[in-house]
Amino acid sequence: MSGAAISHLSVDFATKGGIHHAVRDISLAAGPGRILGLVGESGSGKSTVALALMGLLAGNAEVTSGALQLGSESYDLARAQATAALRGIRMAMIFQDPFASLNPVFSIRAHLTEVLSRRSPELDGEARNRAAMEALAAVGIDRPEIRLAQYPHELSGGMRQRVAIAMALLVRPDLLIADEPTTALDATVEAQVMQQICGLRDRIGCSILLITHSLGLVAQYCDDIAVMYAGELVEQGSVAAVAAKPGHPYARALLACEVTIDAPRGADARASRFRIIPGDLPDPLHLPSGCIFRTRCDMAIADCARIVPPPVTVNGEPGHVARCIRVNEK
Amino acid sequence: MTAAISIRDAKLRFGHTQALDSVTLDVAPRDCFGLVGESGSGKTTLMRVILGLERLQSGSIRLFDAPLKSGSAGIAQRTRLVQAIFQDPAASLSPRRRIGQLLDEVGEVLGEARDSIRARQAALFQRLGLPPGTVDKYPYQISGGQARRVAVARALLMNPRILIADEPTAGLDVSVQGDLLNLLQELRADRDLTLVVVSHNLAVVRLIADAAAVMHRGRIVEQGPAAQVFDGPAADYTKRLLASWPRLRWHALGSNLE
Repeated sequence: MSGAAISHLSVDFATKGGIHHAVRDISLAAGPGRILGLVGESGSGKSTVALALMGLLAGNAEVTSGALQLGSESYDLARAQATAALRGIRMAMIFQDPFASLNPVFSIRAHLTEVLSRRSPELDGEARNRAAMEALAAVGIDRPEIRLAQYPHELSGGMRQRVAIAMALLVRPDLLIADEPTTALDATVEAQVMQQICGLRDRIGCSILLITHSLGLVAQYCDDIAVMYAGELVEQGSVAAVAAKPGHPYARALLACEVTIDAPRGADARASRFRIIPGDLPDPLHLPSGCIFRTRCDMAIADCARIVPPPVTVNGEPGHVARCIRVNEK
Repeated sequence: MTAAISIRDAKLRFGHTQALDSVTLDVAPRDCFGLVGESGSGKTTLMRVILGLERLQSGSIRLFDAPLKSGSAGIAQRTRLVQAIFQDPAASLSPRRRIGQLLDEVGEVLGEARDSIRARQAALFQRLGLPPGTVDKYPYQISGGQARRVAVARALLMNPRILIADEPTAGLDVSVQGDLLNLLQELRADRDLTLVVVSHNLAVVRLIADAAAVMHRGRIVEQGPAAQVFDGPAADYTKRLLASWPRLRWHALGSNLE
């Protein structure tokens, strides 16, 4: 298996105010058995990338260009239903809200065996049941035989997300997309769910695209990181390389905003202030010329309004690129 | 000193679930009180009890030492003392009404003249950094950060003495989150607000809370000054909760490599 690569993905949305170029020329690669963390502000286009890959975009969206390379095959994402045949077979997705993504009128057994009826139609009922039970046990659900007969509302949030992971486990995809899988969960359950996602990667060797707001999660569980801003990819590299020297001013500012559990704390909590990135996202219908971040960037110079920054290798580190014309200045 | 919120031996059971089990706590006025714990631990139930949306089966709750009236008089009494911003601002703002209409309703509740409520609303919008044109928009037309600010504006128009924020940072990226937290910090200084922050974001609560309580299965397993709860926890559960928080930091990772 050679992982998953997305190249030159662009997505437009038709809105009342005009065409919104929500995602512009994004290229990303998630190696086999690696977890790529995709971070960026709300509205930066992270989820649009995921939905474009899965073919689940809303009706007013159009993929204007882009290809998905999965192993040795390439799929033209601008074609209708480009990846429909891959869903539930070579690609799977775990959503943010497991209460919304599991069907309330189907039992857990029905969810899991439905996956198998698509992925492994050769299995008979008993074999599917056995596989479903094994999958639940593999994600750390105790008494799986009882859980199989239960319905989503009878399970806790963490347990529901484990069921979603068990479904992905049964798919054995080449690419798993997890869109904020732990946002609704507390710290202990988040750690368990992330360990299960890592376990799934180790078991089937798939590439994982993890979309998250939590930089701590990326630092702890991801191999690579990609940073999006206002529909563009501004930086990509291994977590170690980007952490050591974030090349793009936006990536640097974003990482600096992270609130850590052992941040220095003054005696008076009233005095605590949190770091922010001044300014707002650009109006999607009136994007700035040149660099997308220049209107909020404290390093911006006149050239930044003229030049659309190409990806530049940071620090001579292979695979670590940032789209900033001043990246290697100091 | 009179506590802003004083709860004694509160018990509440839903079917087989003991949602609140002998909960006793005091929140000092003008403090920020952090309430942490996993989903299902009873945090939200306790918040709803403070708001008067749930009734205790036994035990007592007092706000600023006032015995709470029952029935509709009690609701009117509470809405002037305590307001909340809920986790999902998009869901807590009616999608069919413009922001301005939603805020005009506060005037109707208070029996305040339209001109007066609109003047206060305009001043608040300026204070909260919301463009004046926001009043003409529908909730779906504003960003998540702005929707939370609108929720804060709606709560503050009631001039409450206590503001409860339920998961105020959920779903926000770190920069927008920081902006909202700084705003809450300024508001509590400016308006003598008592703040209750219900959250599973331990790192954030650790920094903004003066005092904190950790809930687990309907019980408070630990409470005290935030510095003590987060940096020197005594209860096993608190230790476990803190240990599971991602710790590997960017700058630590960087400095290790340099």
